[in-house]
Amino acid sequence: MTEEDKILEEFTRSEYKYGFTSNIEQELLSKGLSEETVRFISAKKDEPEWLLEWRLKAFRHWQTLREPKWPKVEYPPIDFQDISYYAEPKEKKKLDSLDDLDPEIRSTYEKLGIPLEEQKMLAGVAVDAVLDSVSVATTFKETLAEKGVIFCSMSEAVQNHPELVRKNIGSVVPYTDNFYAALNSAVFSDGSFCYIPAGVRCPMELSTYFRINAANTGQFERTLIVAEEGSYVSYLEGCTAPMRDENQLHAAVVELVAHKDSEIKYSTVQNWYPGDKDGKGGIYNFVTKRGICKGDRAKISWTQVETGSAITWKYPSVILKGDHSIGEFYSVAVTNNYQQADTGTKMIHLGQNTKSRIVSKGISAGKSNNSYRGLVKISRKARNARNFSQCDSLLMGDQCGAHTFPYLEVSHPSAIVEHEATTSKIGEDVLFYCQQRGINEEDSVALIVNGYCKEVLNNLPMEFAVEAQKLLAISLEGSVG
Amino acid sequence: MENQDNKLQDKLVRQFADFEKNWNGSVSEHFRNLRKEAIHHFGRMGFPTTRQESWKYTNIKPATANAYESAVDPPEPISRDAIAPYLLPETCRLVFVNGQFQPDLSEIPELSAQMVVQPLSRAFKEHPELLEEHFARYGKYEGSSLTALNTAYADGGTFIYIPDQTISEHPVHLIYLTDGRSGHRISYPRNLVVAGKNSQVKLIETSASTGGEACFVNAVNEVRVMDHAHVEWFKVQEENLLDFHVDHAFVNQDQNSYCKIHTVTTGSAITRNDLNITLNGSGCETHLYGLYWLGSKQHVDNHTLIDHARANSYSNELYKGIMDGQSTGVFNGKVMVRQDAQKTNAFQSNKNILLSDEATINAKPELEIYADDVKCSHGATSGQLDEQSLFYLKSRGIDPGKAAALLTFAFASEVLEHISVEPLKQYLSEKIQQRTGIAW
Repeated sequence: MTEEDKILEEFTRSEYKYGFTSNIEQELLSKGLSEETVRFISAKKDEPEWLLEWRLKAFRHWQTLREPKWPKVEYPPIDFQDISYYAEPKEKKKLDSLDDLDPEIRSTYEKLGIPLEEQKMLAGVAVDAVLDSVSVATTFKETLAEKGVIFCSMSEAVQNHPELVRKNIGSVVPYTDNFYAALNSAVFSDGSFCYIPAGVRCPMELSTYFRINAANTGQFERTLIVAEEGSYVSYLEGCTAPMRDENQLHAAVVELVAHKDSEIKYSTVQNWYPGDKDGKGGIYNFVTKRGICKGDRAKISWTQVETGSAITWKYPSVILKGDHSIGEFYSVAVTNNYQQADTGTKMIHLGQNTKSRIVSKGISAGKSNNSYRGLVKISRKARNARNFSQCDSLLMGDQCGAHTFPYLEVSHPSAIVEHEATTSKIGEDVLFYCQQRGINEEDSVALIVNGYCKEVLNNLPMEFAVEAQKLLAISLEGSVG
Repeated sequence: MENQDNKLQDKLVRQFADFEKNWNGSVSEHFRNLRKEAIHHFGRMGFPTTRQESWKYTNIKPATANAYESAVDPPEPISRDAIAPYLLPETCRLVFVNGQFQPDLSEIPELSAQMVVQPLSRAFKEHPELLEEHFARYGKYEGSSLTALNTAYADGGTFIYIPDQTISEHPVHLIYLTDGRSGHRISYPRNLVVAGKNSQVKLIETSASTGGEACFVNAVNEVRVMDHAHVEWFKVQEENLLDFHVDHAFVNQDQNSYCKIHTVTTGSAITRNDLNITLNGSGCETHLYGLYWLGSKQHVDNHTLIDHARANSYSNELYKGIMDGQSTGVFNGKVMVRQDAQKTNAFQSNKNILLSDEATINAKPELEIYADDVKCSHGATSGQLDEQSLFYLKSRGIDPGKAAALLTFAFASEVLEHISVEPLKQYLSEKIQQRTGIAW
């Protein structure tokens, strides 16, 4: 075995660091999906009639749809009747301070390395911790309330701000959008709701830690962020999940609405259980994320670091409707072992003088497949649209695949659209250069990969950038192409 | 429309029986079965629709709305003037009208030893063993119903065989003329080119029409490039704006071979070109060049697939488009690098200029890579003429119209300059110059 192979194998064998389960009592709905399930969930959450109706419409539409087959991923068929559609930690007492939190849940977060208190003190991050489907702890609410920012769980928003939810839910991702969006609309359990009033710059980074905990429970998060005129918000989302053998389905929907002159920055670090080194288990991550720049000069920026999940199927998109609006997408996707990722973005240019920028870095190792799939569409009326896309793939090992499927649809002559993609391995000359300067091979690779992803990592908020760099370091230690 | 689609499909399947009768046992069992299976396959699959990913941007329905007939026998006389604009000096020329060979208009000079250039219909009789070895071996019809349709009906076309160690002295010029003067016609040009070891050949394929009713050309080309062989192929598509042209090409390259294909499209209502290049050996080199300049409601769809199956090969692709009027250009270039194809270098570039508010470009450059030690890249751009360059020319006293024409011509020239047949290069340059609409 050559040195290279050895290092590669070492890398391939590194097991999922965050695999464990916490024993919290759970209320589990028996498996299966029917109108009753939808009614049960809605009743459980004490939802108004219109929302139940909407869920039911979504459910009936979902029944007419078939699972999409076009992504370049392979997995055994999912039995949607073999999933429990609702789970929540039993304890439902309202909490005023972190000390009231279930010690089990707290230790779970501590194991994950995200002590709430510390984060509370660090850069002032309000954490809306979602354990399975129900919000358990929310902090900094008062500080936010002062500014008029609403940041709460979706269920609370439905109770306390029904008019805002009703107006915006499904406005960016209608339940007719796709198979998984319809499923989510029918059975979504909870999620985060965020409303930034006009002219407010949200005083802190908002973050939610998602975590799939109960075995056999599909998790259907629904996130809605509305930024009114002239406001700014940065939202962070990070995920880790315990090690499980059976595949778990996760079909979330995220909707962003950016009004005139507002800016939404949405960052994700996704590190769900990717399955073991034989490709057994792992999360199926089929997510619909979309934002709309409704007003002029609005800006939406997606940043994602995807290292987890057995299968990722995710295309954070921006509809550039307002004139001079801007859409950005920065992504690092790492796949290893038997992981499959089909991810990318859609930039739909409708308004005039709109701009979009796509930077996608794929790294595949082991026997994984990593695809970039993106659409840039310049509509007939989008005068002076500008797009730049860069999709780079790095291959480590000769068993993996890297693919690029960009779609460019240009219908206006004033548009300037540029797309470029490259695929290569880490250059021997670059490696040699580092080593020749006394840096060992492993550190050189880490250095090069970090440099390779820097453009994306730079766009993450500081706390996340640290976590993301750690994640990359863990996954790519010592892997040489 | 759905009905008309089926109507043409049913008609073509039905007519096959008559077509088959004409063969009357003059062809071997092998080919009879092949054709039967092919038409059966077409009958099952039907014409492609936009629901298929590879036809997503090209709706072929307008092309299938006419009641086409095959060419009449004997063909209507056609004057020399009809082909005069396309003639090139010092070539071995074969002329076909609606897929039928025209000996009077053709000119086949004395060829190097054992080299064969003849209509496919004759080759079936004279070289059955060669055809059995190569015909329909590279162009599998399973994945394409139109290739199946061509396979069933193919008899008009050319068989070119260049033996080992042979260099073809003259370029071979194939002129395919569609004649719609007496109604809608459908034709099935089918070329089979076998270039033996260390051989060299240049091919020019001109597709043009006389006018009249709308015609449908459904062409299939198969090319086998053996070890160290060198094939250059220039496709010039300038049919009139009513016609429909679908062209599937299948090229198989053995080790250390070289293949260069140019596709220049200015004609037809709808043109669809599928180039499938398989690099079966190591050390292959492939160059694909494309140029399309469309106006009015024309539509061109260039699909290319370069399949790197073995190590150490090089492929390079450059497609450029100029879109005017309400035209639509589609580019779908796919580079596939299989696990064995280490040390592959593959480059691909698609550049487009939109001249009008109503023109559209859909580009989809794809990479599918399963080997790690490779260098692959692709780029696609869409935009306008560079303002700085325009300004530079204007500041030198050149009027804006001429400056734009000069830059447009320069844009196209990047493709044309790689044409190695001088008279053809000249011909195309002049054509592009004319198209810019100014006096040079």
